[in-house]
Amino acid sequence: MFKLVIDRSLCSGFGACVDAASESIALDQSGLAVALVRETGDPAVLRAASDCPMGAISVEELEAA
Amino acid sequence: MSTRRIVIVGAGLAGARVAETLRARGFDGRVVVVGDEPVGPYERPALSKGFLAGARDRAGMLLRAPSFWASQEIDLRLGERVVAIDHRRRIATTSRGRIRWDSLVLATGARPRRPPSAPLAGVLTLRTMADAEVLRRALVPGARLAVVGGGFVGTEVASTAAALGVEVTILEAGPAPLARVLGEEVGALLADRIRAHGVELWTDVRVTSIERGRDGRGVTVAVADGRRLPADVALLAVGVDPDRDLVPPVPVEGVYACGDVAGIGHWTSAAHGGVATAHAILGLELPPPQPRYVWSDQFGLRLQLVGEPQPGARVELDGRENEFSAGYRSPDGRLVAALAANRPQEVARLRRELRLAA
Repeated sequence: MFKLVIDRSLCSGFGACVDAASESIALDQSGLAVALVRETGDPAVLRAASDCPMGAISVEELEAA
Repeated sequence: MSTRRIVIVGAGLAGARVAETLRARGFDGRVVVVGDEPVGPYERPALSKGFLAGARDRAGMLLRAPSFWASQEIDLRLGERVVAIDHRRRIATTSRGRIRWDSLVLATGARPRRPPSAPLAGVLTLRTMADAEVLRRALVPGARLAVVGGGFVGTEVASTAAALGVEVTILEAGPAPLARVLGEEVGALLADRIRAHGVELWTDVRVTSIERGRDGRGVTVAVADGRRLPADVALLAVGVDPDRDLVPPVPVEGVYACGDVAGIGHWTSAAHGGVATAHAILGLELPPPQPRYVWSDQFGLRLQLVGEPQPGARVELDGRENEFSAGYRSPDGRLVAALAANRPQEVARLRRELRLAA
Protein backbone atom coordinates (compact mmCIF):
# COMPACT_ATOMS: atom_id res chain seq x y z
CA MET A 1 0.00 0.00 0.00
CA PHE A 2 1.05 3.56 -0.68
CA LYS A 3 0.15 6.62 1.34
CA LEU A 4 -0.48 9.60 -0.92
CA VAL A 5 -0.03 13.21 0.20
CA ILE A 6 -0.35 16.26 -2.06
CA ASP A 7 0.97 19.61 -0.89
CA ARG A 8 -1.46 21.95 -2.62
CA SER A 9 0.58 25.00 -1.72
CA LEU A 10 3.25 23.67 -4.09
CA CYS A 11 0.91 22.38 -6.82
CA SER A 12 0.92 24.43 -10.03
CA GLY A 13 -1.77 22.52 -11.91
CA PHE A 14 0.57 20.92 -14.45
CA GLY A 15 -1.61 17.83 -14.47
CA ALA A 16 0.97 15.15 -15.27
CA CYS A 17 -0.07 13.36 -12.06
CA VAL A 18 -3.59 12.88 -13.40
CA ASP A 19 -2.23 11.40 -16.63
CA ALA A 20 -0.20 8.95 -14.55
CA ALA A 21 -2.73 8.06 -11.85
CA SER A 22 -6.23 9.20 -12.75
CA GLU A 23 -7.82 6.78 -10.27
CA SER A 24 -6.03 8.37 -7.34
CA ILE A 25 -5.58 12.03 -8.29
CA ALA A 26 -7.80 14.61 -9.98
CA LEU A 27 -7.69 18.34 -10.65
CA ASP A 28 -10.32 20.39 -8.84
CA GLN A 29 -12.15 23.46 -10.15
CA SER A 30 -9.19 25.73 -9.38
CA GLY A 31 -6.99 23.46 -11.47
CA LEU A 32 -4.98 22.11 -8.55
CA ALA A 33 -4.44 18.46 -7.74
CA VAL A 34 -6.46 16.67 -5.09
CA ALA A 35 -5.94 13.18 -3.76
CA LEU A 36 -9.01 11.00 -4.29
CA VAL A 37 -7.69 8.39 -1.89
CA ARG A 38 -5.44 8.49 1.14
CA GLU A 39 -3.99 5.08 0.54
CA THR A 40 -3.87 2.94 -2.55
CA GLY A 41 -2.28 -0.24 -3.79
CA ASP A 42 -1.78 1.28 -7.24
CA PRO A 43 1.93 1.90 -7.93
CA ALA A 44 0.90 4.47 -10.56
CA VAL A 45 1.05 7.05 -7.77
CA LEU A 46 4.85 6.61 -7.73
CA ARG A 47 4.91 7.70 -11.34
CA ALA A 48 2.62 10.62 -10.52
CA ALA A 49 5.01 11.77 -7.81
CA SER A 50 8.07 11.57 -10.02
CA ASP A 51 6.31 13.34 -12.92
CA CYS A 52 5.32 16.32 -10.77
CA PRO A 53 7.50 19.28 -11.71
CA MET A 54 6.85 20.98 -8.38
CA GLY A 55 7.67 18.06 -6.11
CA ALA A 56 4.22 18.52 -4.60
CA ILE A 57 3.34 14.83 -4.33
CA SER A 58 4.82 12.50 -1.78
CA VAL A 59 4.20 8.80 -1.73
CA GLU A 60 5.17 6.65 1.19
CA GLU A 61 5.24 2.89 0.92
CA LEU A 62 3.45 1.40 3.91
CA GLU A 63 4.61 -1.86 5.46
CA ALA A 64 2.16 -4.67 4.82
CA ALA A 65 0.17 -5.25 7.99
CA MET B 1 23.23 -8.67 -7.20
CA SER B 2 24.83 -6.86 -10.07
CA THR B 3 28.42 -5.67 -9.66
CA ARG B 4 27.87 -3.05 -12.32
CA ARG B 5 28.69 0.43 -11.12
CA ILE B 6 26.94 3.53 -12.42
CA VAL B 7 28.53 6.87 -11.57
CA ILE B 8 26.52 10.07 -11.96
CA VAL B 9 28.41 13.35 -12.02
CA GLY B 10 26.16 16.15 -10.81
CA ALA B 11 23.64 16.09 -7.98
CA GLY B 12 21.04 18.43 -9.44
CA LEU B 13 17.57 17.45 -10.58
CA ALA B 14 18.72 15.47 -13.63
CA GLY B 15 21.37 13.50 -11.73
CA ALA B 16 18.94 12.80 -8.90
CA ARG B 17 16.27 11.56 -11.31
CA VAL B 18 18.75 9.20 -12.98
CA ALA B 19 19.69 7.65 -9.63
CA GLU B 20 16.13 7.32 -8.33
CA THR B 21 14.87 5.91 -11.60
CA LEU B 22 17.65 3.30 -11.77
CA ARG B 23 16.48 2.00 -8.39
CA ALA B 24 12.79 2.33 -9.21
CA ARG B 25 13.35 0.17 -12.30
CA GLY B 26 15.10 -2.50 -10.26
CA PHE B 27 18.80 -1.85 -10.88
CA ASP B 28 20.63 -3.46 -7.95
CA GLY B 29 24.27 -2.64 -8.69
CA ARG B 30 26.11 0.33 -7.24
CA VAL B 31 24.87 3.86 -7.84
CA VAL B 32 27.18 6.74 -6.97
CA VAL B 33 26.17 10.40 -7.30
CA VAL B 34 28.94 12.98 -7.02
CA GLY B 35 27.90 16.60 -6.46
CA ASP B 36 30.19 19.57 -5.94
CA GLU B 37 27.71 21.56 -3.89
CA PRO B 38 27.67 20.69 -0.18
CA VAL B 39 23.91 20.12 -0.25
CA GLY B 40 21.80 17.30 -1.67
CA PRO B 41 19.58 17.64 -4.75
CA TYR B 42 17.27 20.61 -4.33
CA GLU B 43 14.70 22.72 -6.13
CA ARG B 44 16.88 25.14 -8.01
CA PRO B 45 13.93 27.21 -9.38
CA ALA B 46 13.08 28.38 -5.84
CA LEU B 47 16.49 30.05 -5.44
CA SER B 48 15.19 33.26 -7.03
CA LYS B 49 11.84 33.08 -5.22
CA GLY B 50 11.00 31.56 -1.83
CA PHE B 51 14.57 30.77 -0.82
CA LEU B 52 15.85 34.23 -1.73
CA ALA B 53 12.97 35.79 0.16
CA GLY B 54 13.90 33.80 3.26
CA ALA B 55 10.54 32.03 3.26
CA ARG B 56 12.16 28.62 2.71
CA ASP B 57 15.22 27.22 4.41
CA ARG B 58 17.84 24.77 3.17
CA ALA B 59 15.99 21.71 4.44
CA GLY B 60 12.75 22.83 2.81
CA MET B 61 14.48 23.04 -0.56
CA LEU B 62 15.58 19.41 -0.74
CA LEU B 63 13.98 17.18 -3.38
CA ARG B 64 14.24 14.23 -1.00
CA ALA B 65 14.70 13.85 2.73
CA PRO B 66 18.40 13.25 3.50
CA SER B 67 17.62 9.68 4.63
CA PHE B 68 16.12 8.82 1.23
CA TRP B 69 19.43 8.32 -0.52
CA ALA B 70 20.81 5.85 2.00
CA SER B 71 17.47 4.02 2.10
CA GLN B 72 17.76 3.55 -1.67
CA GLU B 73 21.41 2.51 -1.34
CA ILE B 74 22.46 5.46 -3.43
CA ASP B 75 25.94 6.66 -2.52
CA LEU B 76 25.45 10.43 -2.54
CA ARG B 77 28.80 12.18 -2.23
CA LEU B 78 28.47 15.90 -1.62
CA GLY B 79 31.08 18.63 -1.74
CA GLU B 80 33.13 16.46 -4.07
CA ARG B 81 34.15 17.57 -7.53
CA VAL B 82 35.04 15.36 -10.48
CA VAL B 83 38.13 16.88 -12.02
CA ALA B 84 39.09 14.41 -14.74
CA ILE B 85 37.77 11.35 -16.51
CA ASP B 86 39.85 8.61 -18.06
CA HIS B 87 37.50 7.13 -20.63
CA ARG B 88 39.84 4.35 -21.68
CA ARG B 89 40.27 2.98 -18.17
CA ARG B 90 36.81 4.12 -17.06
CA ILE B 91 38.03 5.95 -14.00
CA ALA B 92 36.89 9.34 -12.70
CA THR B 93 39.27 11.38 -10.57
CA THR B 94 37.57 13.51 -7.96
CA SER B 95 38.73 16.05 -5.41
CA ARG B 96 38.80 13.17 -2.90
CA GLY B 97 39.98 10.15 -4.85
CA ARG B 98 39.18 7.93 -7.79
CA ILE B 99 36.04 6.04 -8.79
CA ARG B 100 35.76 3.26 -11.33
CA TRP B 101 32.64 3.19 -13.48
CA ASP B 102 30.88 0.90 -15.93
CA SER B 103 28.36 3.53 -17.01
CA LEU B 104 28.92 7.24 -16.53
CA VAL B 105 26.27 9.95 -16.53
CA LEU B 106 27.34 13.55 -16.96
CA ALA B 107 24.69 15.77 -15.37
CA THR B 108 26.98 18.68 -14.63
CA GLY B 109 24.40 21.35 -15.39
CA ALA B 110 25.24 24.86 -16.47
CA ARG B 111 26.96 27.96 -15.17
CA PRO B 112 25.93 31.58 -15.44
CA ARG B 113 27.39 33.61 -18.25
CA ARG B 114 29.89 36.21 -17.07
CA PRO B 115 31.89 38.72 -19.08
CA PRO B 116 35.55 37.80 -19.51
CA SER B 117 36.66 40.72 -17.35
CA ALA B 118 38.07 40.12 -13.89
CA PRO B 119 35.54 39.35 -11.16
CA LEU B 120 34.51 42.39 -9.15
CA ALA B 121 33.14 42.50 -5.64
CA GLY B 122 29.45 43.35 -5.79
CA VAL B 123 28.87 41.68 -9.16
CA LEU B 124 26.95 38.48 -8.47
CA THR B 125 25.38 35.61 -10.35
CA LEU B 126 22.68 33.21 -9.18
CA ARG B 127 22.89 29.50 -9.81
CA THR B 128 23.61 27.73 -6.55
CA MET B 129 22.23 27.84 -3.03
CA ALA B 130 25.47 29.51 -1.91
CA ASP B 131 24.99 32.19 -4.60
CA ALA B 132 21.46 32.81 -3.32
CA GLU B 133 22.71 33.18 0.24
CA VAL B 134 25.26 35.79 -0.83
CA LEU B 135 22.64 37.69 -2.82
CA ARG B 136 20.13 37.51 0.02
CA ARG B 137 22.54 39.25 2.41
CA ALA B 138 22.63 42.21 -0.01
CA LEU B 139 18.85 42.53 -0.17
CA VAL B 140 18.25 44.88 2.73
CA PRO B 141 15.64 47.66 2.66
CA GLY B 142 16.93 50.70 0.81
CA ALA B 143 19.78 48.85 -0.92
CA ARG B 144 20.16 49.44 -4.66
CA LEU B 145 20.21 46.40 -6.92
CA ALA B 146 20.97 46.48 -10.65
CA VAL B 147 19.69 43.40 -12.45
CA VAL B 148 21.35 42.87 -15.81
CA GLY B 149 18.99 40.74 -17.91
CA GLY B 150 15.20 40.67 -17.86
CA GLY B 151 14.69 36.94 -18.33
CA PHE B 152 13.10 34.60 -15.81
CA VAL B 153 15.90 34.75 -13.24
CA GLY B 154 16.28 38.52 -13.54
CA THR B 155 12.59 39.32 -13.22
CA GLU B 156 12.05 36.84 -10.39
CA VAL B 157 14.95 38.25 -8.39
CA ALA B 158 13.65 41.77 -9.09
CA SER B 159 10.24 40.77 -7.76
CA THR B 160 11.65 39.16 -4.63
CA ALA B 161 14.03 42.07 -3.97
CA ALA B 162 11.37 44.74 -4.49
CA ALA B 163 9.13 42.98 -1.97
CA LEU B 164 12.03 43.16 0.51
CA GLY B 165 12.22 46.95 0.11
CA VAL B 166 15.19 47.00 -2.26
CA GLU B 167 15.41 49.67 -4.97
CA VAL B 168 15.65 47.60 -8.14
CA THR B 169 16.55 48.52 -11.70
CA ILE B 170 16.31 45.93 -14.48
CA LEU B 171 18.52 46.49 -17.54
CA GLU B 172 17.17 44.50 -20.47
CA ALA B 173 18.75 44.29 -23.92
CA GLY B 174 15.45 43.64 -25.69
CA PRO B 175 12.32 45.75 -26.05
CA ALA B 176 10.61 44.26 -22.98
CA PRO B 177 11.35 41.81 -20.18
CA LEU B 178 10.86 38.18 -21.16
CA ALA B 179 10.08 39.26 -24.72
CA ARG B 180 12.48 36.71 -26.15
CA VAL B 181 10.63 33.84 -24.43
CA LEU B 182 7.06 35.11 -24.27
CA GLY B 183 6.88 37.55 -27.17
CA GLU B 184 6.66 41.34 -27.19
CA GLU B 185 2.91 41.54 -26.51
CA VAL B 186 3.19 39.66 -23.23
CA GLY B 187 6.51 41.36 -22.50
CA ALA B 188 4.77 44.76 -22.71
CA LEU B 189 2.12 43.64 -20.21
CA LEU B 190 4.82 42.45 -17.85
CA ALA B 191 6.78 45.69 -18.26
CA ASP B 192 3.77 47.70 -17.08
CA ARG B 193 3.34 45.37 -14.16
CA ILE B 194 7.01 45.51 -13.15
CA ARG B 195 6.97 49.32 -13.20
CA ALA B 196 3.72 49.40 -11.22
CA HIS B 197 5.58 47.51 -8.49
CA GLY B 198 8.11 50.32 -8.21
CA VAL B 199 10.89 48.63 -10.16
CA GLU B 200 12.75 50.75 -12.65
CA LEU B 201 13.05 49.16 -16.06
CA TRP B 202 15.54 50.15 -18.77
CA THR B 203 14.86 48.40 -22.07
CA ASP B 204 16.85 48.24 -25.31
CA VAL B 205 20.03 48.90 -23.38
CA ARG B 206 23.41 47.31 -23.85
CA VAL B 207 25.61 47.14 -20.77
CA THR B 208 29.14 48.16 -21.72
CA SER B 209 30.89 47.90 -18.37
CA ILE B 210 30.44 47.35 -14.66
CA GLU B 211 33.02 49.11 -12.56
CA ARG B 212 33.73 49.77 -8.93
CA GLY B 213 31.56 52.58 -7.60
CA ARG B 214 32.93 56.09 -7.58
CA ASP B 215 33.53 56.29 -3.83
CA GLY B 216 34.98 52.77 -3.80
CA ARG B 217 31.68 51.30 -2.63
CA GLY B 218 29.23 49.36 -4.74
CA VAL B 219 29.31 49.33 -8.51
CA THR B 220 28.49 51.55 -11.47
CA VAL B 221 26.80 49.99 -14.48
CA ALA B 222 27.45 51.84 -17.75
CA VAL B 223 25.19 51.39 -20.77
CA ALA B 224 25.86 52.16 -24.43
CA ASP B 225 23.66 55.26 -24.57
CA GLY B 226 25.88 56.92 -21.97
CA ARG B 227 23.73 56.48 -18.89
CA ARG B 228 25.38 55.24 -15.70
CA LEU B 229 23.57 53.41 -12.93
CA PRO B 230 25.07 53.36 -9.45
CA ALA B 231 24.11 50.37 -7.33
CA ASP B 232 25.25 48.55 -4.21
CA VAL B 233 25.12 45.21 -6.00
CA ALA B 234 24.69 44.07 -9.60
CA LEU B 235 23.26 40.70 -10.54
CA LEU B 236 24.26 39.27 -13.90
CA ALA B 237 21.27 37.29 -15.14
CA VAL B 238 22.10 36.97 -18.82
CA GLY B 239 21.72 33.25 -19.23
CA VAL B 240 23.76 30.13 -18.60
CA ASP B 241 26.10 27.95 -20.62
CA PRO B 242 26.31 24.16 -20.34
CA ASP B 243 29.15 23.02 -18.10
CA ARG B 244 30.77 20.74 -20.68
CA ASP B 245 34.26 20.53 -19.20
CA LEU B 246 33.95 16.77 -18.66
CA VAL B 247 31.98 15.96 -21.82
CA PRO B 248 34.10 14.02 -24.32
CA PRO B 249 34.41 15.64 -27.77
CA VAL B 250 33.05 12.51 -29.45
CA PRO B 251 30.41 10.10 -28.10
CA VAL B 252 31.87 7.36 -25.90
CA GLU B 253 30.13 4.06 -25.29
CA GLY B 254 28.72 3.88 -21.79
CA VAL B 255 28.82 7.66 -21.28
CA TYR B 256 25.55 9.58 -21.12
CA ALA B 257 24.66 13.24 -20.65
CA CYS B 258 21.42 14.73 -19.41
CA GLY B 259 20.02 17.92 -17.94
CA ASP B 260 21.32 21.37 -18.80
CA VAL B 261 24.70 20.04 -19.93
CA ALA B 262 22.93 18.23 -22.76
CA GLY B 263 21.08 21.37 -23.87
CA ILE B 264 19.78 24.24 -21.75
CA GLY B 265 16.25 23.44 -20.77
CA HIS B 266 14.02 23.77 -17.79
CA TRP B 267 12.74 21.75 -14.90
CA THR B 268 10.67 19.27 -16.86
CA SER B 269 13.36 18.72 -19.50
CA ALA B 270 15.96 17.97 -16.81
CA ALA B 271 13.59 15.66 -14.95
CA HIS B 272 12.51 13.91 -18.11
CA GLY B 273 16.10 13.66 -19.36
CA GLY B 274 17.13 12.03 -16.09
CA VAL B 275 14.38 9.43 -16.30
CA ALA B 276 15.09 8.79 -19.98
CA THR B 277 18.82 8.36 -19.32
CA ALA B 278 18.17 5.77 -16.61
CA HIS B 279 15.93 3.90 -19.05
CA ALA B 280 18.61 4.07 -21.76
CA ILE B 281 21.27 2.69 -19.40
CA LEU B 282 19.02 -0.22 -18.48
CA GLY B 283 17.92 -0.84 -22.06
CA LEU B 284 14.29 -0.02 -21.32
CA GLU B 285 11.79 1.70 -23.56
CA LEU B 286 12.12 5.48 -23.31
CA PRO B 287 9.30 7.42 -21.63
CA PRO B 288 7.11 9.48 -24.00
CA PRO B 289 8.23 13.09 -24.44
CA GLN B 290 6.43 15.82 -22.52
CA PRO B 291 5.83 19.32 -23.82
CA ARG B 292 8.24 21.80 -22.29
CA TYR B 293 6.89 23.45 -19.15
CA VAL B 294 8.19 26.58 -17.43
CA TRP B 295 6.66 28.44 -14.55
CA SER B 296 7.52 31.67 -12.85
CA ASP B 297 6.19 33.54 -9.84
CA GLN B 298 6.72 37.27 -10.03
CA PHE B 299 4.99 40.54 -9.18
CA GLY B 300 1.84 38.76 -8.06
CA LEU B 301 1.56 36.63 -11.19
CA ARG B 302 2.05 32.94 -11.60
CA LEU B 303 3.16 32.45 -15.19
CA GLN B 304 2.90 28.94 -16.61
CA LEU B 305 4.21 28.32 -20.09
CA VAL B 306 3.63 25.07 -21.92
CA GLY B 307 5.43 24.44 -25.19
CA GLU B 308 7.92 26.71 -26.92
CA PRO B 309 6.77 29.95 -28.55
CA GLN B 310 8.70 30.37 -31.79
CA PRO B 311 9.86 33.70 -33.14
CA GLY B 312 7.16 35.00 -35.42
CA ALA B 313 4.40 33.06 -33.68
CA ARG B 314 1.00 34.75 -33.70
CA VAL B 315 -0.01 35.65 -30.16
CA GLU B 316 -3.64 35.55 -29.06
CA LEU B 317 -4.18 37.32 -25.75
CA ASP B 318 -7.22 36.79 -23.61
CA GLY B 319 -8.07 38.33 -20.25
CA ARG B 320 -6.91 41.24 -18.13
CA GLU B 321 -3.64 42.34 -16.61
CA ASN B 322 -4.14 40.34 -13.41
CA GLU B 323 -5.29 37.20 -15.10
CA PHE B 324 -4.71 36.31 -18.70
CA SER B 325 -3.69 33.64 -21.11
CA ALA B 326 -1.86 33.71 -24.40
CA GLY B 327 -1.87 31.19 -27.21
CA TYR B 328 1.05 31.06 -29.63
CA ARG B 329 0.28 29.84 -33.14
CA SER B 330 2.67 29.00 -35.94
CA PRO B 331 2.10 30.68 -39.34
CA ASP B 332 0.02 27.65 -40.41
CA GLY B 333 -2.27 28.14 -37.40
CA ARG B 334 -1.04 25.30 -35.22
CA LEU B 335 -0.96 25.92 -31.45
CA VAL B 336 2.74 25.64 -30.48
CA ALA B 337 2.71 27.10 -26.98
CA ALA B 338 0.37 28.53 -24.39
CA LEU B 339 0.84 30.80 -21.41
CA ALA B 340 -1.45 31.03 -18.41
CA ALA B 341 -1.04 33.96 -16.01
CA ASN B 342 -2.91 33.40 -12.73
CA ARG B 343 -5.07 30.86 -14.53
CA PRO B 344 -3.82 27.51 -13.21
CA GLN B 345 -7.13 25.87 -14.07
CA GLU B 346 -6.23 26.12 -17.77
CA VAL B 347 -2.81 24.54 -17.65
CA ALA B 348 -3.68 20.85 -17.72
CA ARG B 349 -6.03 21.38 -20.67
CA LEU B 350 -3.43 23.38 -22.60
CA ARG B 351 -0.79 20.76 -21.93
CA ARG B 352 -3.01 18.00 -23.33
CA GLU B 353 -3.96 20.13 -26.32
CA LEU B 354 -0.30 20.74 -27.08
CA ARG B 355 0.62 17.12 -26.68
CA LEU B 356 -2.07 16.19 -29.18
CA ALA B 357 -0.91 18.92 -31.58
CA ALA B 358 2.72 17.74 -31.38
